[in-house]
Amino acid sequence: MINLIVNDQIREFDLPLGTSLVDVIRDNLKLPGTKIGCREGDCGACTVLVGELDGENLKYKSMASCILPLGNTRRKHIVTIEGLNLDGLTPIQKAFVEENGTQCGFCTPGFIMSVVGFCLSDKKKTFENIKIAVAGNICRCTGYKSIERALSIIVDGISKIDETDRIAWLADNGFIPAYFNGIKNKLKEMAVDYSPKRTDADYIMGGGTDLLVQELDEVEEATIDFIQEMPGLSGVRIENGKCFIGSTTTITELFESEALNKMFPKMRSYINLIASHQIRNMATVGGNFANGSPIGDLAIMFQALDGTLVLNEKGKKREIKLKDFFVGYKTVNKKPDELIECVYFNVPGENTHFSFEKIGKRIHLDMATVNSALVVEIKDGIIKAASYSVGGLGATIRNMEKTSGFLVGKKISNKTFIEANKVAQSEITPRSRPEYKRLLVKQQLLCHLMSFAPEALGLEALQ
Amino acid sequence: MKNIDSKIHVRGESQYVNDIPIKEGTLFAYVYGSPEAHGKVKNIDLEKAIKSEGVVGIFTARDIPGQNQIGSIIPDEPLLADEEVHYQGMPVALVVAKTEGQARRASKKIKMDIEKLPVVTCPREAKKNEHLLIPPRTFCIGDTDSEWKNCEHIIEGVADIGGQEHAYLETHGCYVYPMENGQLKVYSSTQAPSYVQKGICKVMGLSMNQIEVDVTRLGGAFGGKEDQGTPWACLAAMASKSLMKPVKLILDRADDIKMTGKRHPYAFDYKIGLDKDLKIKSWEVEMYQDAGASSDVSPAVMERSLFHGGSSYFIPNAKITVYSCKTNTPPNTAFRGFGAPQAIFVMEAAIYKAAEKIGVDQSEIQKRNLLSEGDSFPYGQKAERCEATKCWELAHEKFNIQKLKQQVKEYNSKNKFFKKGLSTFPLCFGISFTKTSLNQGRSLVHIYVDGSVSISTGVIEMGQGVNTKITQVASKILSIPRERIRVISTNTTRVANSSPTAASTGADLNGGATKIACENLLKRLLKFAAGELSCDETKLLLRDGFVYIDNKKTDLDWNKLVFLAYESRVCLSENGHYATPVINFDKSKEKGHPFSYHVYGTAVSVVHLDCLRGTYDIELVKIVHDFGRSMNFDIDLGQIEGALAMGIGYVTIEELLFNQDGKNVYNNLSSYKIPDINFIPRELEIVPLDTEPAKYAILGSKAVGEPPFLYGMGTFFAVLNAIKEFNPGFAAKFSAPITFQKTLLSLYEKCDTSVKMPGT
Repeated sequence: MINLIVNDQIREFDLPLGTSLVDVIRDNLKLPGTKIGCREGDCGACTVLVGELDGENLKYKSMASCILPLGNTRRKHIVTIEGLNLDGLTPIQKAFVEENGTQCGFCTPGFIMSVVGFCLSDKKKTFENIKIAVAGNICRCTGYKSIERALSIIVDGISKIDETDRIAWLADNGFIPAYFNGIKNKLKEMAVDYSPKRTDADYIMGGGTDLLVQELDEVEEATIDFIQEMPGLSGVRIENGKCFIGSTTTITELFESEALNKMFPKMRSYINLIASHQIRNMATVGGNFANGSPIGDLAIMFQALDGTLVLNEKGKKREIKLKDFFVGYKTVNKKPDELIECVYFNVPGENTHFSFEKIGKRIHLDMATVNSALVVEIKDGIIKAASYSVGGLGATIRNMEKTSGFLVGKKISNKTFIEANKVAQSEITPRSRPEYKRLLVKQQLLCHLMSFAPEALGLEALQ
Repeated sequence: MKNIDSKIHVRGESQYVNDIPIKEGTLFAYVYGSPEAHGKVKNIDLEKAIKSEGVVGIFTARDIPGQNQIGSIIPDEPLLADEEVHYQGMPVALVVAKTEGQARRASKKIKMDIEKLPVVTCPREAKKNEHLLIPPRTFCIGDTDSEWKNCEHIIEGVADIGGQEHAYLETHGCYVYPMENGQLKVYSSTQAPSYVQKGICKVMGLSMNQIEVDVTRLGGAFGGKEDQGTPWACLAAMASKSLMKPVKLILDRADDIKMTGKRHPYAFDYKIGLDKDLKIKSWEVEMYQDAGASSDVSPAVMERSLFHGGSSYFIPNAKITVYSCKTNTPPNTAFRGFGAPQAIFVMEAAIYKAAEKIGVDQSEIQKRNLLSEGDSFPYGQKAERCEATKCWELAHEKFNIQKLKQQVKEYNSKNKFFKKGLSTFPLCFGISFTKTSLNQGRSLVHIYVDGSVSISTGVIEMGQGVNTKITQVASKILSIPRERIRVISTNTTRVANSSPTAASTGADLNGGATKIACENLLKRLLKFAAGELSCDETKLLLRDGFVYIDNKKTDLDWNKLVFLAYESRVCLSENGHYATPVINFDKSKEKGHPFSYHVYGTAVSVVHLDCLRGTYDIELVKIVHDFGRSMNFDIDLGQIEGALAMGIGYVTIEELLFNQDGKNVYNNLSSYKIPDINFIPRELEIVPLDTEPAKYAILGSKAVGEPPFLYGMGTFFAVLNAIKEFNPGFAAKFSAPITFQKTLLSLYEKCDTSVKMPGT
């Protein structure tokens, strides 16, 4: 049994907790406004809002309901398009109508949900940010220009929002129904004693964004330990010169982490290349590792940072370097019962620089063809230490030991690049599309080095 | 006027097939598709699947009561594979269970024993093996053979362009339930309700009056639901009739991509000849159309390729041949543009290569060969009210293309690792179904006694706003507010024998029929009013809901007029029938006047290329477009913006790939990438050509669904130009889409010094 609020109603469900939320919404609650477009989080047509108490605050995030397991919605507020409707059109809906931002209409509820999620968020109310908020919503009809026009009207319309109480302001101004004002107290009243524990369940589930795509049928019939609300597994903290990131930390939380962004000033631009806004709100760091994908963006980054995982098998802990964790294609050195608690790495010194590159078929919301991260320590113009990982070349993420070794003691220059590339090419054996992937490795290596020393490299490097 | 559906769209209240409230006892169906691309069926093992939880029935070819045949043009496509399978995902069995999940899980337990046969996925290879679906067709004008000697420049080459997944957001679906007397009610996500009706009849051995097909709207279609809505409806109908239960069948995304056909990939061999003034004198092209495993609408797509074999240019001597090649991929089908984009691509590729070889800008060749008034197309029709040059010139003036070129040049001279490329593209697209008999439409208009009006036509609303345009037509003719008019679902019992909503003709045909119906009703009402007001009918008119005599308002308003007419037993319903005039085509001569008119335009595109990463974005697209006189600029602009994005995707990032086993490699939206909000032109300007209303278009407003798709084509050539700025020696390859992979490899391709560069 699980209880949650859907729109303005408290609901209880006696359903398998691995059930995809979109099925609960459409089939059990008969709310057909939430659409199914792909069932893998790649189109955004099923976007809903998920409101959750964070201390005294009620925070909303947009999520793809097709890959959101029911088990992750306990004592949360789920908002579907039906839960936004007032007698007349809201200013958001009106903007989409006025600017012709809807044609066949199938993607439209998802767009509206993402926009409302943005209005409710603490993001700065700029056009750039609202565009990021809908970048996970795919439309095949409009070509997005009309949607952009609607977004720009909406951004203007909320420029005076009271950031200290967004819910009240949005309700007062007709953006959302007034019942939103009462949700916080309702959720508090629902917050009875529930403490998730490890059991002998078939699955351990974090955000569910991978399992509900890959193993929907199996998950629906299985027992599951939902770990998102287990204490101590979430957040970024610095301790004794080490940075610890809990396994249930979402990619959005990484984006928002001041500590992380202070260490890696370009981190936000890198994170914008990962998945979409909705998925970043759900997908977890631990999940990106457990998945074992050879192109996991976070896995690439943390492997380059020489990250170590802390695994916990019902109290029995062990540690393992990320680079030893990935043992084969989607195979990891982890017993089924072991839970990833966190990843940690040494806080980089001021001479340490970090660079991430990713190229796929589309720039945003895509999987990488090749992705890579390079961490270097540079002192007096000389590379003192280097750690380089590359994805997309085979069964596992490649730890580029020889190239890293070669770079140590070198000054960044055209010559260094040319020779480092030779070493890099010697330690890779791309299984598919070798010519392209080899070239990508070369180009990405150049981009990394250019990001550290832009003046030191030129066209000559590519001769 | 805004799209009449938009207010319910933004509230999530619009109903698609999957949203129709289901009846008690509804069963769910799941299609089991062939795991192999080609082979002989040795055995289908259903035993485990039948025993699976919740399963009510499993249907295979043997259970089909009528003919196992759904080919609409040529009867070469079984509904369910029987003795052979011809592509991966070819429907083999239908599993029906109490829930969707149960049906899906059961289908995974089906095992097939298939004796593999060779798999062909390349049209050239199929042609070599003489695997043609129909005999090739050729359009000829002049005499190419004797013209080559008069050509100063002769350029030969090859080109190819990949397929494209429709990626409508709503997948295929159908909901069927049995009615009394063996009748079936069918809700289908189809662009062609009459095809669905006919298909079910053939498969079930029923007559058309036993099947009612109803369509409220589609969540996008783009041609993908023209012929291909039929199999799913037939399957659901078979299960429903056999089990006497309502049956729902919704394809999930992976199955939709795996089982349905796409835009046809084409390969080309071409030869172009120009005189010293850069006039195209001779043009020969052989096109190898990848039709997939069965013909579907490929013969018609082939025909449109032939019609657009000269693009927007006047070519005095041309020989255009298309081979429709059978491969082991899903049957390729209609898709916005319908064979024209492929034909236009090879022409532009030839011009690009000629320009490269001669050492001029490709726009120079484009400009000098644009169609002029009275020029003959290769199929004999003459260009009338030809706007090609006007669009070209207005684009150059309005967008200052000369200055844009200069800016691109300056940018490129200042930047080492980032380059820009510019291209121009002229458009000419013929409007009408090339099959003349399809150019008819019907509209049933009822005026109810309360004065409200309902309209039923044969057209399908799929986001293009056609029902809004039909509302406008009725409102204009009847002089009543739009709010009093409602366009209701498309239903085969109200409008019979409708043509598919395709070929950009939906508004012309069904708007035309609505116009006729409303005019007849108006005539009848005014005649009645003349009797009531005892005056001459010619002095009467209806304006803003009132009857006027000699331009003077009377107190006879619309509601009263309608009510009185009813009381006097005047018929308040009308069935309008429209057949496009002037068109004809003689297939034996391959000559005629197949199009009621053409749509023209010119686009300029600029791309911005990251030469380190091989990625690019689109800086701007500016378009002059010939709308005739747009009746709804909101909707028409939306069509252009949307078609452009789709056209850009087609030649850039949308990559369709079948491996040697015939497996569709990019088989879901996580691996098949369509443009997202970040991959559209940063700047987009669309300027309407100032011209007369078009004679045979509805209210003078030209068809707008397909033509602007072609504007995306310019992006391909702009990327080539940008690559050349970085790697001047690279030999341009005309292989679309120009993915990031091809782009990066081209940027670093070793120089081919034999190629002459512009200005050298």
